[in-house]
Amino acid sequence: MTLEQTPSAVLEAQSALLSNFEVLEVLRELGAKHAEQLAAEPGVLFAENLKTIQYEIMQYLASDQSPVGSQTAEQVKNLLEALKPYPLTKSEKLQIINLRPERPVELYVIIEDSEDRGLTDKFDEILSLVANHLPKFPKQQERDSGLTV
Amino acid sequence: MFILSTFRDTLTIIPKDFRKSKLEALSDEINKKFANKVLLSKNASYCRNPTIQHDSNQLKKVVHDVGLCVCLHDIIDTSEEFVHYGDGSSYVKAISQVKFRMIVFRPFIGELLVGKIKTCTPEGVRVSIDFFDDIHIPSTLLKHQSVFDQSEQAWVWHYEPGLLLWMEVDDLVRFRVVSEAFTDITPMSAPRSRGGLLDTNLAGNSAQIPPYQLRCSIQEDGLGPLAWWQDQ
Repeated sequence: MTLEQTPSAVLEAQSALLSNFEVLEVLRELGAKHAEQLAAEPGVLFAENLKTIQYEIMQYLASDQSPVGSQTAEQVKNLLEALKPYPLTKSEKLQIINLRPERPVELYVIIEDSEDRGLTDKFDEILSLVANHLPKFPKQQERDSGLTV
Repeated sequence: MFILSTFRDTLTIIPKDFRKSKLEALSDEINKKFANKVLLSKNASYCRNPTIQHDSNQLKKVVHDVGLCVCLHDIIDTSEEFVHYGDGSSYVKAISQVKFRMIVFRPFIGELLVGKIKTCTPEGVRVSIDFFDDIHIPSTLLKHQSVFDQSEQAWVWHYEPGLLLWMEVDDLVRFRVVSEAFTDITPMSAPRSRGGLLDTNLAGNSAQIPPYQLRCSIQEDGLGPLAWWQDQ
């Protein structure tokens, strides 16, 4: 290995797909690590570009409008297990987890050629599995708790 | 929406960071270098390390592009550190070769995203997802029979006679990624104007085109402002 010949290189542009929830986990861990470092050494500086994108993505993924803010690994795993009988592609499952569809029309745009694949009849089953396994949008959670109080 | 990309890079740890563990110092260095940056795979030029000489002919052509880097996911492998003696003994650095995986924002073509309308113009609609703003829905990929309303500065879908559906700033929209475009915006050598004089306006030269942009569509049923489909 000669250093002269090795500027940065992209070995594999796409090694894997990540769900929004997994990214949020990593960013939260990073935030916790930074908080720890800050406590140990007040005044320590973190790279500004990193803090910016961390803040902005967390704002997007953990907002009222995002369904992934309160997801847990357990829930996602259980849902994937429950969806096994249906012939969904990897990217369709990924989008179901990221978007948490609630209405048939939302599932319709996620699943390609659902009619030809005979999946249209299964929409209600899939939607109820999603509703049972993944936590609701934060907004609805608030609304629900508001009603019970 | 997010992917993992595997990179290899040569990183420098400055003496100030020698007190950190090697992995920690390298993680910080990787994040500092790549977080929130759009990476093109030919980006050897972008990543050039001033302490290392390399021939610009070795820069790779654009084969595939990577996307918007978020942060380090994990370090797979590191080499032994090299210590280079530069000019004067104060200039000591450890250089290490690292193989690592980054989290990268790179929605696949056909992926559905939800974002907020930032601006509406006669050319189309611009959408933001907080950390990324270069998302365009051109007027040709809006619903058929959409009209731009000059007085409201908003798009209206003439769904049926008497029923107008509006797209206004701050509405949440669901859209599909149709295509992506990467542009190398590294400043080039100063271009010559017609008189043979150097044009010094480098910023004007390179800042206009975003390095990574997404072209999206809301033409199908189910796409567009979320409010349109809520009663379905």
